[in-house]
Amino acid sequence: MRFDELLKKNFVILDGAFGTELQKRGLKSGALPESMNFDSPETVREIHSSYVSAGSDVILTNTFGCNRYKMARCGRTVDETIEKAIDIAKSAGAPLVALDVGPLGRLIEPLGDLSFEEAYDAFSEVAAAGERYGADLIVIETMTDLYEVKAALLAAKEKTSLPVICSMSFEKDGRTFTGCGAKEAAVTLTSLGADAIGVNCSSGPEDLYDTVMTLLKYSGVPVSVKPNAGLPDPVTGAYSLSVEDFASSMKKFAEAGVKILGGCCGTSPEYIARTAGLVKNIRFVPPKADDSLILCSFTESVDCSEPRVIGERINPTGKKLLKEALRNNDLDHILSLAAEQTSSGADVLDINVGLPGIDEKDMMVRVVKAVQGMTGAPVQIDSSDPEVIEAALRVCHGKAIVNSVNGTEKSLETILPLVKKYGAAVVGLTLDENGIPSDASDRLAIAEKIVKRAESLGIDRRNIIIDCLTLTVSAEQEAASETLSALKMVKDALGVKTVLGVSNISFGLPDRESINRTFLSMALEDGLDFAIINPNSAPVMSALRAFKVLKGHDRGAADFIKYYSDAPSGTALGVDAAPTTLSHAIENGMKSESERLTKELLQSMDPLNVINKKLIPVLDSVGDRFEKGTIYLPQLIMAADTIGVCFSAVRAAMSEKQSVSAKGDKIILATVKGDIHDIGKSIVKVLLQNYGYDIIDLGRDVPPETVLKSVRENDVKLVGLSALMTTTLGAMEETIKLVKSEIPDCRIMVGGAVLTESYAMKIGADFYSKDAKGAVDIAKRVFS
Amino acid sequence: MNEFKKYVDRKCALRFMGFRGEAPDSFKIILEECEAALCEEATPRSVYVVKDKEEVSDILIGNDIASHLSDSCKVAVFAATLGSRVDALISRYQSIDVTKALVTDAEASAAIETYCDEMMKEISSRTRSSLTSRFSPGYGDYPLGIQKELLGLIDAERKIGLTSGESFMLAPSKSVTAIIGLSDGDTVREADTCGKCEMKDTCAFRKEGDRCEI
Repeated sequence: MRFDELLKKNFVILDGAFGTELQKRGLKSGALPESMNFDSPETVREIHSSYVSAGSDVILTNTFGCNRYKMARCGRTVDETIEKAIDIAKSAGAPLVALDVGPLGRLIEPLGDLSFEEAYDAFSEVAAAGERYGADLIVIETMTDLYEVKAALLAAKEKTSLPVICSMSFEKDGRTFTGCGAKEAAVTLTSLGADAIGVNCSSGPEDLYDTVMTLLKYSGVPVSVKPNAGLPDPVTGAYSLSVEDFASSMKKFAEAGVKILGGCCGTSPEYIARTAGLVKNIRFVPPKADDSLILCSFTESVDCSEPRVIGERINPTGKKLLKEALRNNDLDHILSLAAEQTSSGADVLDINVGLPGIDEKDMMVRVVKAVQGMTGAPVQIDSSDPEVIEAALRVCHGKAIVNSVNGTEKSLETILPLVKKYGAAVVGLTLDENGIPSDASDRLAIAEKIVKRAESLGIDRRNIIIDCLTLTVSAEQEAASETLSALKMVKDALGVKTVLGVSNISFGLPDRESINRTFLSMALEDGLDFAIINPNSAPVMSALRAFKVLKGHDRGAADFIKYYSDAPSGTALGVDAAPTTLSHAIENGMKSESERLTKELLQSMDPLNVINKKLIPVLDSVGDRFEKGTIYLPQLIMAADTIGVCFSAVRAAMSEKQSVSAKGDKIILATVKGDIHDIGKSIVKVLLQNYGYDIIDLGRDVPPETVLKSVRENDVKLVGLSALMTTTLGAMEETIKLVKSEIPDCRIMVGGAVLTESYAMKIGADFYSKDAKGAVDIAKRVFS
Repeated sequence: MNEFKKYVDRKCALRFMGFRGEAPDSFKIILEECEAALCEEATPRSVYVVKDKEEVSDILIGNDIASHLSDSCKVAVFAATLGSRVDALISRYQSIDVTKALVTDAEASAAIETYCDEMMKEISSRTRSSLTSRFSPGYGDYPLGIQKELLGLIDAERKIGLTSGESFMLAPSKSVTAIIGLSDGDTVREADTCGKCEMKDTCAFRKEGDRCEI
């Protein structure tokens, strides 16, 4: 039998706990259950058989922890373990055997030290072996990180043709340990093509009711529920829920529309038999699934039934500082653009990193990963290169928009299959081989062509967002109304979502914001669903918020009142009140006041003079007082961080030709391989930047080869390495050795909680720095 | 402010940040803001199992843990975490406001200790035992390398989402694993955790004749 045939049954019964049953038969807690496939195959078979007798339609193999990381402990390969486990499960006589896939046991970046790509590779090995040895389906279960499920699901879909159930472990509050919500999981995994979605482990079934209802509403595929028998007692190990209580909760789930039922920790064949018995006479009624467009990150979702804002700021066109940041690999600048836009009200963030001389694919992946680690806003992947789009869709942690496809054959052929495969939404531009039609009805025709083609590939219409294209009104005055007519026609004829890049309308005119916000209001009235705008523009945002009140989207004007009755603080400390001097403002962390005073100085002083005569003296004075012990580290950092805002103001005032860095001396900073805690490095970075050094921040968990490569490519004279753990000091030594052996005159300074000066010298470092100020002094010596 | 507020220990956090004595008034706003954010993001969870000492002898390696547990027949294998959202918060701050990152990091380090202290009260009352202090991998000669086995024994990955990476660093990072000795008597054995700490040669507190209060 196949899984899709099995789904025609009234209900599908999975098995119950495996580890609990093994422990009853003598497995020590903490020992690897997978080793029992070799040490005691009869025991494993007997447990499987007991579930088959209890009525399980699907048996999960004893391979929960079978992956390259966990199996390293027991000397068996993934391949042989899966072969053996499937063999045993098949011999127990189950109608279907599912390859059981659990978490890898390590957290994926940015939460842990495993990269998404490494996780994908590890799951690929497991999934391929599962199909090779005859599993009928794959069950990915007990997951808490949606990113890990995505890696596993992609691996299963790409390396096998087996159906896949994805099941996560949600807590009472409807979120997993990593903060992933049930709605976000359902939306993301359904879009990615999971054949069923579920919840397992967690606590008892009674705590899962709301989570299950959410899964039923947003999944659109069969839902599976496999809970624990309540919670275990820490002293006796016994689980709290009786067979009867468990089964009656499961019956309620079946009545609500859950198709696939089973048990997790603490259950036994008895629990399964009773559950199967209770649901036998219920008729399965498929739940009604939501059919609207929902975009999401792993923690937050954006319901697109009302107008939404797509922040346009992460796009280098015409932005000097962002261009510089992209060239210098300065992700922090990009992240500050992300933070600023979401706090101003962006619902979705457009990401465009196309710039000559930049590896767009590599940069897009890095920026998407960083932005989604930073905000809960879903992303819009903005590129015309299918390779870049695919790379970004792979690492996207949620449901994204692809910006964009257009009516040309080449675009339709290359972009739409990616949209389908990764379950994204897509912006369709109403242009084709002949350019942008001037006539609205011709734009509608292209929109129709895009929708038709997308639907033929199985892309749901709700995922298509048509852009009727905003032209500059100062160049072609009739174009504005033509765009709006096209928008209206598309809305009426095709019923799809619509989007416009609003700011284009006002190029070349004074008071652009007035034009922008009026055009936006007109477009919204004609049915615009997404506005690509600068959310930092208060007049434009207020027009949108007002529209939502007038149209009844903002019930009771709650958001409007919340937003406009609160005085925006806009500063780190919210204490920018009385007029003050620049040094006072900086030392007290008054960011906006410091920025204002700097801009005032720039009216009458040369930018370089502002740096050398005003900012650096403040920095030196703060540094001196830190060394004397009259102020402490957080105060030093607060001043340094605030002065960073002043430097940005100065840099923005410099012409393109002026050197942005005062000196141009480059320093590489990295936290060594294996170490994922890098707050100390961030502190050092802020301070060094203030003194005008160009910092190449390689991040954390950086392999020695990466440091060497960067030293070489950037011709760097000073490297700063940090390590937090005694266990990563080895990696620090290795990095020093490698760099020194290849580039002997490169100097290396080290720091970190567990280091001492003598140890630093022992492992071959040139300098030991006890704190961030020390690093500045070392840099001054090296570059003097 | 939610129920996590009770675990915030500003005094201890200020010491971790490097302050000696009171923080200046101008710093209080940022402290409050970071504490509020921490309370919003923290999802404290803990798990423990109580076992006979012999049952878990595999993970009790070295002389120091042996002497710490010399009066105990039973032990609690314990793990606690503030959850990965706290790491995400700190890392978010690192990109936009390093001061807040520094403050929140210290506040979280202080809060996980308070949380563990609270959980130990529960263990004590649940088992009606007096407890030794927490003894963690990395103290004295108790190897950090035992982390994976310790976590496996209490199924910490499934129960509280706590894992350990290649270098035995815990993820989420604001987490504690420890062995706690249980005994019937009233005596509570304080470990010389300071003298056995892996940081004892570099610790800024020790240099000043002080200790970190962990």
